[in-house]
Amino acid sequence: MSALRQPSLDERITLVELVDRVLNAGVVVTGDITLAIADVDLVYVSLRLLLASAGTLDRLQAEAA
Amino acid sequence: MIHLYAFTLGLRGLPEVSGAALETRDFGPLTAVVGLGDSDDAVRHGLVVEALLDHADSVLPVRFGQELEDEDALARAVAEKRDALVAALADLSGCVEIGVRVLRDEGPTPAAPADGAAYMRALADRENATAGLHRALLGHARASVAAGPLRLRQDTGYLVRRDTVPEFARAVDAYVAAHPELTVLCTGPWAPYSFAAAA
Repeated sequence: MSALRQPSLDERITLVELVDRVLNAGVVVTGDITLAIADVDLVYVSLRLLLASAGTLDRLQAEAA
Repeated sequence: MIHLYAFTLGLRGLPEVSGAALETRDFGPLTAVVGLGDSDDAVRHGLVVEALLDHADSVLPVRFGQELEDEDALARAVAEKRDALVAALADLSGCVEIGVRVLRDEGPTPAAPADGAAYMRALADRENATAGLHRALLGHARASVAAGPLRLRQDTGYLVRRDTVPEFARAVDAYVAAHPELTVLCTGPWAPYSFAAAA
């Protein structure tokens, strides 16, 4: 874990905003959503998701550099 | 399994997003952007949707977590809502979402208020300033909607035409400069997630 660059505060805020929208907004076309997150606060349910996804963001930014 | 990212109008090619093997499926005037196989990454989902903004006239974000069994399931899902999807795409064309959060309990605070009345006055001032911000920004947006589930903050999404985004940003800056009691977090521009559910 220590080998990963720590995201800046701006990046972390942007990540939270993005994941918030992806999980809680957008059009629904199917009857069921894989993640049952409809009424749960982002802060409780998505911490694990954010930690897993922060690695993705780092990798993508490293590739873009 | 088919992972659905977004619906689009006027799609001009697909963006390159690491780890996403993107394909398109046409349904009349609208095009669905899908990925086959890869799907359990909310960040990648968001990055694909945001990248699409520069590749299409209109992008209707799809909520994360919807897996479709196969092509038939996708076709059925689209058929059921096609008119609403096309209408939403037309309505959102050329628009983006800007998120504005007013953060409570943060920002410069004076020394502890002398009494309860002073505290309540400060609270009321902040409420008034927040309402004023909303009124000011509505003048530069097509619509607004309460966004985000967090209860500690006030989140509002504004639907803004892309060509007026700089004007919207200037309005935020001007209001915040005049109201130092507010701490405002402004993010975006995003694809219009919070205005998509109307479909």
